[in-house]
Amino acid sequence: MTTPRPAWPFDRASALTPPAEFAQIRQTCPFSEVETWNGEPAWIATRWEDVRTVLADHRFSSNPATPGVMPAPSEAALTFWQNKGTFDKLDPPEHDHERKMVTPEFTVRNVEQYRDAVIEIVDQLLDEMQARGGVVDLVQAFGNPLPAQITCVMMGLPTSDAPFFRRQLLTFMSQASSQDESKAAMQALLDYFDRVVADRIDQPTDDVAGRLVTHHVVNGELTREGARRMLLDLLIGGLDTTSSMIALGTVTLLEHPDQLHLLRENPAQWNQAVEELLRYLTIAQFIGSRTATDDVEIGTTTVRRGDGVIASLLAANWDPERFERPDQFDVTRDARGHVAFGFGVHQCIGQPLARLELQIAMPRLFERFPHLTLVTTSRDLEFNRTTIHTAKEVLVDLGEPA
Amino acid sequence: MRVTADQARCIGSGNCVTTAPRVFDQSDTTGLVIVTDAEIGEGDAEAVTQAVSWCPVGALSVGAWTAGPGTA
Repeated sequence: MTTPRPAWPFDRASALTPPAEFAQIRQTCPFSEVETWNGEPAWIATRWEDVRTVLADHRFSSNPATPGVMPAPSEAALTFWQNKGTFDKLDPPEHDHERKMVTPEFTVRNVEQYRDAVIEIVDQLLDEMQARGGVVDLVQAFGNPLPAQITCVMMGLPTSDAPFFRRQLLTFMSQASSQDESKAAMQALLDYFDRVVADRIDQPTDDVAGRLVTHHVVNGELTREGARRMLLDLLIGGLDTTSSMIALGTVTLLEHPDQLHLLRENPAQWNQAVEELLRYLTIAQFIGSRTATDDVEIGTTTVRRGDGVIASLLAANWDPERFERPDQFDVTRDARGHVAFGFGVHQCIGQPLARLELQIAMPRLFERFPHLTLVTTSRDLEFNRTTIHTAKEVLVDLGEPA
Repeated sequence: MRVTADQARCIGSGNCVTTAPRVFDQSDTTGLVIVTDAEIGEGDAEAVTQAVSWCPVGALSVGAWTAGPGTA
């Protein structure tokens, strides 16, 4: 082939829609080659079917230490993945062993126990927004604090520590931070969770952190280092993701007033609307990078051992073969079966919690502020250049509360 | 129609519990799938078929369903 490999990652066509390249690639050669930031080649899967096939196949490794290409969207992302040291960057059986230590915490039934806590946090945040009135940044006022506070509740940490997490994570993730600042922020977080683990070794507690320590650290199954990294990873996994879904979900709904109207007429449809928002936005835009550990056939293509593969969740969720007219944001669509939480053994462990938060936060926001309008439209949004699609701020005018 | 679940493959994502709550449950101690009623009535057939298709690790099987290549 003489055509040059297109440079990946591609820019989104608009703030809320996928890159135009996905549709082009899907139409011409749905499993084809791109080039990453450091000039390395990688395969990209753009069909829902192929993305699922890659992510479910154990011959594709998530471990950045696997020999070959690990296609990352940037050098910073690759460095982050290499230094994580948590089970999302391990392959089975090591992955399964570690994940199973926290699996019971995130069952549908166990997560349901936090429903009242989520409602309480949501209503309190809405009260604070109402007291302030006028124009607020939805990211700061609503999206960020909700997942940070519920994580505190689950892990048995004081909710007053939530702003500390936010601040350190922002410094850690921000492109504006120097390498030293970024490193120091990560260290502050690791030190924090080291104390959390140490406290629970001395004094067992009945919370996610306490149970992890009691059942897996005390008996030597998991090191203190492993435990603090796992707790930090559970925190990181839930913050920007949920926050962004709330902020960008609100923008999406306000820019599709006909769809919002349907939800006002029929609030029972909110849960379905949340699934459609998950599909449509697919904010985990750079999750799904793998390295082949063997030669694998994908359709008519042979992926060689060591090749990098990008299984694009965003492209999969906009595959017209699976979701008719994928560019239509349609709250009446049954969007289940989307891969917004990933697929295969690494599928998001916190998805029942994310669903609970979104299914409560979104309808309550629009109930409280029925005259909510956008100050920043999607055209004006500025985004952080991170692996999760997050807006720097989303300004809304709250209008008269209900 | 009969459904079986492979606990060795299960990662406890809870997809099946949300999709077909009358048929699937999760163990409180391991978080892994439990089939509460393996004989599927007509009313649950569609939900179970969806749960099988959406299981991220191919841990569920019904009828003639078999795992894809390399998923073992």
